[in-house]
Amino acid sequence: MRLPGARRAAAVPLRPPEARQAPGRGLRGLVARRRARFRRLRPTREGWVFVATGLAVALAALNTGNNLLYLVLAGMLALVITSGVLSESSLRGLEVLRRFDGPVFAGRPATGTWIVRSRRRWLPNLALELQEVPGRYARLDRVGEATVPVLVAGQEAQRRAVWRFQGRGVHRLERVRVSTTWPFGILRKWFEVRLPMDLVVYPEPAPDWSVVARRTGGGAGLDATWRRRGGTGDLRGIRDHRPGEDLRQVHWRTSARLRRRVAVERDAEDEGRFDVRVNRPGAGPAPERAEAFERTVSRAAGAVLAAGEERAEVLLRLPAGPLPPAQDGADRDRLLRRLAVLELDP
Amino acid sequence: MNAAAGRRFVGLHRVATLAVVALGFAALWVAGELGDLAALLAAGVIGLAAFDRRPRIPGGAWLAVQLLFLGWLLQGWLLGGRHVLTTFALLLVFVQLHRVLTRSSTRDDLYACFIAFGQLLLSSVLTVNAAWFVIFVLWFVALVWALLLTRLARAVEQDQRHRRAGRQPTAAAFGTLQPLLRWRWGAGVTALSVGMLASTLVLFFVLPRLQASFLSASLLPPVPVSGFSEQVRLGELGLVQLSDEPVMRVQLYDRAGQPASAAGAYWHGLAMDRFDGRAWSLSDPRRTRLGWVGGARTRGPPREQPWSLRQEVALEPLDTGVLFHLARATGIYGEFRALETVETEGYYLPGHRRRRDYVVYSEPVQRSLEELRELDPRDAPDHVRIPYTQLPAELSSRIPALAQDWTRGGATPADEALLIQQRLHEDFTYSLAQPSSAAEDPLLAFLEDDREGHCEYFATAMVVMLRTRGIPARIVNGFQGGEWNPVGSYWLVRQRDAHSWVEVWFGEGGWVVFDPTPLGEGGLRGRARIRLLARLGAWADYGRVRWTDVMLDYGLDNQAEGLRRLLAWASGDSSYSLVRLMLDGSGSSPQRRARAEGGLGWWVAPLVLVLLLVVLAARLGRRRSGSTRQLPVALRRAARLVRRLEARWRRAARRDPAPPRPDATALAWAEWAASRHPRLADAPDAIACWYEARFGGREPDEELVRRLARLVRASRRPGQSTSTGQKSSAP
Repeated sequence: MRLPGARRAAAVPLRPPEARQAPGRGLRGLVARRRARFRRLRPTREGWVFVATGLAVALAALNTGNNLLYLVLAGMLALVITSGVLSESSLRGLEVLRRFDGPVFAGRPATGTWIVRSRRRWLPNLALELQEVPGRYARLDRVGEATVPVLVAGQEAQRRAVWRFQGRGVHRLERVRVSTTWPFGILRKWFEVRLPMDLVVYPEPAPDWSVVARRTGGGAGLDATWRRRGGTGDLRGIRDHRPGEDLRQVHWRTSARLRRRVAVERDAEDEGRFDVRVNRPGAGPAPERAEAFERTVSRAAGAVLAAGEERAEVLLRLPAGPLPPAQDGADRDRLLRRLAVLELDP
Repeated sequence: MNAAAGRRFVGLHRVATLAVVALGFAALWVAGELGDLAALLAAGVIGLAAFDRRPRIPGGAWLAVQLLFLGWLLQGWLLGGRHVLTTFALLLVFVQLHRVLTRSSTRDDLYACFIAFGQLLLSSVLTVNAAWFVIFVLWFVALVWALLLTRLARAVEQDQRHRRAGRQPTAAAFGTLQPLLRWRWGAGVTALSVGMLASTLVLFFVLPRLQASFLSASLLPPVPVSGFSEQVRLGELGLVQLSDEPVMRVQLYDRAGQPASAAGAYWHGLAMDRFDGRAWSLSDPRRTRLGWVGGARTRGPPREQPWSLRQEVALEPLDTGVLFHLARATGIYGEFRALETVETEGYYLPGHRRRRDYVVYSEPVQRSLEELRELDPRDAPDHVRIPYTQLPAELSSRIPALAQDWTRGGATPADEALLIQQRLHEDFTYSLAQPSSAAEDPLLAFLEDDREGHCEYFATAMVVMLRTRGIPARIVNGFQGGEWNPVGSYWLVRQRDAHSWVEVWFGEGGWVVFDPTPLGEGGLRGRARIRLLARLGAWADYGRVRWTDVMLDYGLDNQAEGLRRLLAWASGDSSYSLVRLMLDGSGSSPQRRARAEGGLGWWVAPLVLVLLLVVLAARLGRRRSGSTRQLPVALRRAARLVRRLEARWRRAARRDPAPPRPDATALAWAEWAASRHPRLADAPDAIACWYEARFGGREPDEELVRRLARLVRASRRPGQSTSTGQKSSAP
């Protein structure tokens, strides 16, 4: 299945050539470029203990004039300075790429891969940590945290990670935080790299799409029916009839014999068709309308996915008009993408 | 392979952490806060942990042990009078042992390092032993290793948590660190440790000292040295002679500045005049303050007093304020505000008992026997005769009789003194044993029964016998001789050099030294030393001196001096004065300034120029390397077309009732455009392909460029209706 989420897995080098031009050529561009390289520093939890201890030792040394305390204090300062130098060394010469495995649905864990490359010749990059920085136009529950303990010079490391987006739509992923607590774990140094990516997050597919279809019957909300075209497909088997399914699926003779309702299951090539209609919700307060609309979109997404599982054609009727029927995976992607950016009141 | 590498890493990590722990215990041991039994226990626990053979102790038993220990600790502190630092040290020992025995994660390793740091910190305020520095160096190296490995281990654990939903990593997981487990990395970490130590020392010397160091006096107990208090009982000095601790180091020069020998010299401490039959004391213990004495470094020799020997003394912290010197001190200089003296000739420093450096100028009296024979001590003035001829109230009549017997034939007081001295030399034996101390009259027991003892018995016997003859005499406690250290070129005087001798008043000749103590063979003084060991001992002692000078006594004055020298060196003029520089800004004469400028100019300017060139070259190199990483031609063209598309759509959206948000992405704009015009239905897919090429690493092709160009052309045609029947705004 060719899905846009997979195809649009975007990655960018840490310092792309056009980054010099993208923020502008003037002073603003200069500031933006400098900011991109800017390193930030913050003590870790152990680091705060270290800082407090260092202050206490400094106070004791100043108070008593004890040179051995001064020696210990000097050792602590050397530790901090070395920490700054080595952490900087560990953050240099990196390229970071981000790749999602497949389609990304709202509210569902989306797996992907961080690809970290070293452009260095000699020194390794150590204890790297990666995570998404949610910008203004992306809402994430999980930010794709990953750790790379060792990145050998000139080589590449891949780490699986999990994201989770809060809502459907186009989420703009802008920055990735590359941080390290190397070498001593007392300071966390990081920088944020531009790794722009527009990700279409599909609606969270609702499992009860067929319930809605049966209930609505062409009214408000979702209308999803499975039309059989002559029923010429090969018989795959029989199974229990599920509540909400089309009664025309019921195999009445067998049901009578078994004394329970049994449905016929046929192969996909029997050219079944999902007719999914997304109607605008009726009048009412805006929040309720929006919520109802989101539910409808979720069920529609569920219906589209179910159609994919059944290898059935799916026709999506939006308030603005029907979309061309989808017959394969790419077409269904088109429908899901449309559902992802569908607005209640465009 | 990975599992083996992982096990190697785990083993290395364990060794490094346990080394930090062991050195923390060693620091406490050097500071004297860890007894031998506790040290053995700690070593055993560390050994068990090193081989991963930790005993599995039930939780209830652990709790009981902890409660018992805490109870014992509190009892010792609150009721037993245990010092708070000692209590804290014991607590650290227990907590560390508990941590080592119950270690379960790398976080515990961090805790162990932190506790070891606490132990080192605590020991730093409890000792000035040079061995502490050795431990500090080793601990620092081990700490760097332990922290680096702990950081790596935690990164692996974190990685495993992300991968395996929080499960603890196995040893094989650490195999991912295999690329680091090579000798080059080990050498790198060792070099890093050494570099950090070097920077530690640099920082140590650069950190501003806002208060002068008084480490040795404030926190450390002084070395007990008997013999110099105002109450000395017979027998106490013998105990002190067994100690090998250094008391002072002296550099001795004659008037010409040449090193002089101190072999056999008498380092005068305190002379005492009153003897009650068992103990010596001062009849007039009042001290007279001599007032401020200038700094030894800036003051020259005394101008109005004679002197022939200059002694530069570095005195260890003692339990007395007495300053030691060669006889007839004519000038004492040091960094102290006041000096006190007593009637019997002895100099005290009031205040803290800390390490002292001072300079003494002395003029020893050299009288021949003939000269002494012509002088009669019995004609001494009252202020000398009365205190220095007093005898114990219950002095046995046997002692004057013995004195008379021994001095029979002595024509002059000098001859009588020599006769007594000779008799004690020949008929008595030097011994550290003190059989006479238990006697009711120890002096009589020494003279008649035991006939053996140490220097104090000999000196006391001679003084008392001379006094029975009417000759003013006194006992002097101090040190004799010393050990020449060829490495540091100084005389090392130890506690075992403590000595008592006799001084006899000879009028114009002053106080003349007599030493009735025969050379002993049983004490440390007579001990033969192996040459190699002596040499090693000299080096060790010199190391302690440097440790004291460079590290312990380093202070603000040293920093100011270092800065002055640095400026003088930078200016090329060793006589350049920092003070003058600060006062008038110009430094000195035009000639000197010219020299200074010349000294700076010939090497500083080229150096700065070279540095600038290096920085410039680095910048240019970085820019050039960036410029070579251009986008492929097709991608650049595609990027241009996408920008043009976006611009067109933005213009069109101005007339649209529901335009996309201004911050909408290119894909969102494409979706909007596709919804507005069927000609642009391909726009989202084309933009998706552009994303894939631009950010996804896919090779850009001409087909993409053509698609985008078609979209640009399609976006140019206005007035087309959309599929929903609405009028298209622009695309």
